[in-house]
Amino acid sequence: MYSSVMSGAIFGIQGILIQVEADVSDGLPAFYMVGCLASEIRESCERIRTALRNSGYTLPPKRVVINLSPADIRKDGTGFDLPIAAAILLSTGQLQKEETKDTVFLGELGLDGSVLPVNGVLPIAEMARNSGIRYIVLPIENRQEAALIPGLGVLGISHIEELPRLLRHKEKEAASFFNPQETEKEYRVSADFRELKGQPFLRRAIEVAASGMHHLLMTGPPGAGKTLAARCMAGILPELSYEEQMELTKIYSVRGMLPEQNRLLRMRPFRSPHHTITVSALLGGGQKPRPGEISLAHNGILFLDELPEFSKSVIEALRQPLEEGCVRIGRVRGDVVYPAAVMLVGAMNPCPCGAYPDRNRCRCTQRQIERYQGQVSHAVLDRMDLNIQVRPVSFAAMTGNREEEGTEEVRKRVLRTHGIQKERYQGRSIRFNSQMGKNELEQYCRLGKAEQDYMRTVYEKQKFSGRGYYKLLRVARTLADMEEADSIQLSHLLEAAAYRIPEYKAAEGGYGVGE
Amino acid sequence: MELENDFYYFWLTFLYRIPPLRLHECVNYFGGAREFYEAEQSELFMLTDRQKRHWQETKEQDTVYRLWEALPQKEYGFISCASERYPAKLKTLMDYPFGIFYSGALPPERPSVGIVGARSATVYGQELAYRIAWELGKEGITVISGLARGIDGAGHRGCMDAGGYTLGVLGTGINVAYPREHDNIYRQMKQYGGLLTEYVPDTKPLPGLFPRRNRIISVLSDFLLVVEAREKSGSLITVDFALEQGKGVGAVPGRPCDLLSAGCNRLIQQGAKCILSADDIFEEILENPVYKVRRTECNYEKPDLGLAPKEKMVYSCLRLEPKFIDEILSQAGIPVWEGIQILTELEIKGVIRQHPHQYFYRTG
Repeated sequence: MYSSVMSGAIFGIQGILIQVEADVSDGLPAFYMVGCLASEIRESCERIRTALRNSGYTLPPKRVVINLSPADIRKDGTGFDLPIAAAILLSTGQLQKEETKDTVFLGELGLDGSVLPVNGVLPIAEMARNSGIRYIVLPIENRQEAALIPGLGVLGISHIEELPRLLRHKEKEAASFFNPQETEKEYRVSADFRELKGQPFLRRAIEVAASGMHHLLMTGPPGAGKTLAARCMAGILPELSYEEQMELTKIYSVRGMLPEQNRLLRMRPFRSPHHTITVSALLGGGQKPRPGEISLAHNGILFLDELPEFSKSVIEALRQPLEEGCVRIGRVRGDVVYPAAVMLVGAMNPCPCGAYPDRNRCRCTQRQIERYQGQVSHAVLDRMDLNIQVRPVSFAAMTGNREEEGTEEVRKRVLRTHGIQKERYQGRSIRFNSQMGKNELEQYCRLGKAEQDYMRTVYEKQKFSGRGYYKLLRVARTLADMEEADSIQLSHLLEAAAYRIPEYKAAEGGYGVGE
Repeated sequence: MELENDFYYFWLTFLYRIPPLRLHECVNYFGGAREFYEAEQSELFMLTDRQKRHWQETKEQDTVYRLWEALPQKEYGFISCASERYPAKLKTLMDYPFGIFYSGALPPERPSVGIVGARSATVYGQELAYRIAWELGKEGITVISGLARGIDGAGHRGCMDAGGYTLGVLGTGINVAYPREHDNIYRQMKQYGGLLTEYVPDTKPLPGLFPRRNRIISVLSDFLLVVEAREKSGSLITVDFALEQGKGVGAVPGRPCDLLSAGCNRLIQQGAKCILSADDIFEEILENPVYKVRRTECNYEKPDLGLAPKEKMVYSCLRLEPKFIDEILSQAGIPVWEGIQILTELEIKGVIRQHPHQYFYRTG
């Protein structure tokens, strides 16, 4: 007898509805599984048979064929054990068709029939709700994660024995588990902005970068406070909006990295991978594609400390995601797309010893310095909106009484600027000034006469690239927003220009006299 | 076949493995370059075995001769010490080169100043070297240096920008541009100044060759200026040569704690002239009766900056040495964003510059 139930698979970070079909018919006893399956699903026939027998169900000696459709999508993971078992039970009349209607199944089985948790529940639950499905049956451990999707009846199961009873009392069971929407409670701040003392330029640059989610590169000797600055930056970013929370939590769900199952992530992520990271660990990929560090930092900060120490291929691989805000992993069966709208914060030393340009301490040769800085290609440097130098604070400034603004106050200002951008980009695919495309630039960065003249001077004098020109405009837009100005003024352009390196390499080779 | 006399001098330049003084002894002993060339190996008792082999090798294949024949087609020239075009000042050296390779123009009969200093110089030092060289160039005084990084390059540039003649004495072959980042200066100098070396074409930059060329820098200069030098610096070798040759030596002072000026300060302590501006050098050279140079009025005049009050305030926080933006912003006492704007504005006006990024200094 033929029957089918619904389940879900993950493609990228999107859920896809999968029909699990079972046919139990007369013939030589056998168990076939088809439908473009990974080996862990192929193996599941033994798990399912044993689990069913050990849980008191009967599995008649018949010919069983399982198909997972659509058959052209490669399926992996262990979440199909439960739906396959359910389909077999349905085919053998141990479950009723009425009971499995409108329900998605998800879960791994142990040999004793226990249901084990799986990854990637959130995207599947969202997909189920969006395609009009009313219930989801899944491991009890994943119950709270699925409950983050409003409008979906969540049925947690811990043992396959419970399945008939659970399905018979669906409405009651789903209602008994009511989980209010919650986010992470505590707002973690690892470093207070107040700690950044005596570095007014650094403080300003960080605030600007955070306000428009601009990429930032800090160059300075060891101990200048680059890492501290990056941590402070995470603190001044306002929390994620609901949509952003959803996006991010889905990514973490796919990676199986949700810290607390019943909570949406609320803080903007701060990821700081070590410099030995590989390209596929950073961007995502692998035989079975997984989101990488850059996606885990989606809508937040990707902090690359000691940038030149990263392998060159890793740094270069960042170029496309930084530009497009997503990672595309090309596969024969189609591209997997992971969102990666990060704010890249890089930190590097100016030379191998770190003391340059203090020539009294730095004995690196010009060649060494160039080679070191050359690790970060011009193409990547050009993608940095703000490029700043950091110098260690003097003892007087560090111990001085001067009270600097703390994280809370700065975050309030950043929140206001984010609010302005949110309003402006309502209904568009972008969220922040740093993501403005050509259309938005034309619409929101219109310049007056004086400003245009100035830009012409800068463009010709400093020999910006086309990209550099637009980067300058985006930063200027953020500066204008910080002042709640409608249009970009000359003062904004002037400040924005100070953060850019026009001709990085040339600036290093020559010294700016008699060009 | 009778070879031209100059060929033998040309050949002598290929014997760079024999110390120059020893080479002079040999030539004197045999009574001429040609005689030395035609000598029997057994007669060369003053040479070590390795040197003899070197001597033999250069004669064996006719590589040297072929280079000699190809010389007219090259973009550089060769002058033997027998030629009248050979710079007379060089002859005062005990171990003067038997021939020099040059491209561009040869140094004119005019007063000249050698400018030497650290390769890893500060922006401040380079700016100073540039400005002094600029004033010298404006007055028609030749600036001689070694085309190295740092001070040397700044000196050449300053002189060229003022329209003066500048001579680079290379420590490599005449057709080797070293260091690479000075490729553009190298090309400009071929056009507007001159380059000169005692080493044969294609000689690679080798550590031993550079100190030797310093004696040529000093002997061609009437006065030697050291801009930035550490306590142990190659520039001090040049100073020693200059003192030996009886030239005037001056140094630009630095702060006592500045490692990069330690050598200069020591020189001043030992009696070198303390050079604060180009005027001090003019004084020195004008005293020299050989040259009757009349100085025109100083025309490196300061333009009226015409700055707004706030700009003036920020400007007053700057010095000739690069200062980090944080320090400037802290001192200026105005809101940070305003300070940043003003700095950019000043830079566009050309009264300040930044190097490296976000370290600002006055242009003059």
